[in-house]
Amino acid sequence: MTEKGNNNTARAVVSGIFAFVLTLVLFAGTGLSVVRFGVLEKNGIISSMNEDYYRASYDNVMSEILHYTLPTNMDVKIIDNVFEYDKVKSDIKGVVVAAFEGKKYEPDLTEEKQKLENNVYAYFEQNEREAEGDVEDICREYVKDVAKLYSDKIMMPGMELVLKARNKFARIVTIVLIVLAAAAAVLIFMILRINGRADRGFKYLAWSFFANAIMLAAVPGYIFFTGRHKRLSLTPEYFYRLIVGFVGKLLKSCLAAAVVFLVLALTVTVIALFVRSRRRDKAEEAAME
Amino acid sequence: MTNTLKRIIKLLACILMPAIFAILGYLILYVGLRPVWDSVYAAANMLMGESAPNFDSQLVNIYDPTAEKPGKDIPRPSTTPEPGSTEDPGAMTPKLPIQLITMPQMNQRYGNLFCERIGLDAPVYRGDNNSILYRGVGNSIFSFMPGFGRCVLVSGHNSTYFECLQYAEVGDIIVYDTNYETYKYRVYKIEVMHEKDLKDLLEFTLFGEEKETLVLYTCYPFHATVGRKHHRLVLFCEKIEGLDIQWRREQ
Repeated sequence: MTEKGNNNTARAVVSGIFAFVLTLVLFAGTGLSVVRFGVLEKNGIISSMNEDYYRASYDNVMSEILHYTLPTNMDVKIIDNVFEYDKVKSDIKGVVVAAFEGKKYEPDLTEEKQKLENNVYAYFEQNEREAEGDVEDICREYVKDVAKLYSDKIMMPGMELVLKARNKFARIVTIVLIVLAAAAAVLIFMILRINGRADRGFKYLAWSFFANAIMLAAVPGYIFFTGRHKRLSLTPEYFYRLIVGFVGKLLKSCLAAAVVFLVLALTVTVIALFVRSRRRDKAEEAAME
Repeated sequence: MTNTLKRIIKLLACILMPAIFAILGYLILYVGLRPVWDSVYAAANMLMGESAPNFDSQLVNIYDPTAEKPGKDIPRPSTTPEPGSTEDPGAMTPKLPIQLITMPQMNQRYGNLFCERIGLDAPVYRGDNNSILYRGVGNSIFSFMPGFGRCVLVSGHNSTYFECLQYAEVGDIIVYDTNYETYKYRVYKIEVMHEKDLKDLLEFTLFGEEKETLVLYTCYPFHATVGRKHHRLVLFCEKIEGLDIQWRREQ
């Protein structure tokens, strides 16, 4: 093989390696961006908690308080009109917003505790019920337990932990994304520089973008279209729907990113073909002259 | 090499090379994540089910008191053997084949408990979670159903369907009507026990016995109190009527 042939082969191999590394860098960067700016974005999470979610959470909280009240032998009507829907919704939102800021939210239950106490005393007076112990003690303990139960149940399972991890993750990811962006820029520059001719360099970039599109679409697409992400065994139902919604959004974002990279690959290919065609035309003109 | 062949090779390269990059990329990810893969996979398996959970499986009813029981044509066992008979009455007792029974799933209502004297009329569900105990009484999944010759454990809240148990007496007849047969039990003992003692009795004695005992229990006392009640009012009942179920080969 001639020296020129050897150089061409070496250039092709090195360009191929750079293009492959660029694929990995782009895949890592896209994946992290989708998670950081898509699914785990604060406004994204809060907007996912729609009216259905709040209604289901309210039902869950009230159901837990009801099941706590039943074995006490007091009429379950004592909890009627104590916890209003708007109050529960506001507290749930408060918990999430505070968790984003790394704080703990304590709901103000002064009014609710007073209503509950009044209901308990009224129940014992109106029904002349016999109590196991002092009515005042029973009332105090019951109200205290219900308040604690309420505070526990308005918190989404694992929410505090997830948001703490999310806050730490967000800071690290931003730094990693900057590093990956710089690495991608360097690799693109090296590929174009090694090849000299733009159309050759663009070919390798197109391979890299297309490979990234395949990687972003293959596994996420398989999980999304087969519905495997819906097999999560989570309860209660509203929490299951929230998490499945998040995972679904993440998978759809990966597929959308795959489409973007596919379009990029096609664009770069068209540009490469155009540049090659222009170069050939110029070469032909020069030959004719 | 002709120009056409060169073009075909270039076109194939545009498809094959990205595919090779993608496969190699996944391979590198797999190798790189291998140290944590097993932990992640195990954690994911814990959270994943065989299929999407069905939240529509609310409390379902397979019990119809007016429907014909599957064993209606099976002759009922006689309570006393014929004079001079040397045959074992137990061996001749007709049984209800298990294949004729529609077994209830979790959260399904499959029966009803009655006792006219104390006003007991409670729907019976398979399982004993909070939803069930709010709507009826629950037959523990750790115990058997009536007819299987083993302990049948049923619990309920003392503020709802089992409030009337406080008026029960030894000798009362409890009717346990199911979707497959109607059983009658006689109360032979009533006791107030600590929940731990009841748990030990069930685990170490009753659950292992090859004798059908219906155990109804509820929280005690019946007065209003707060917090967890540690005592239980327990009714022990023996079966006096109803077909046994043929569920074991040696029967």
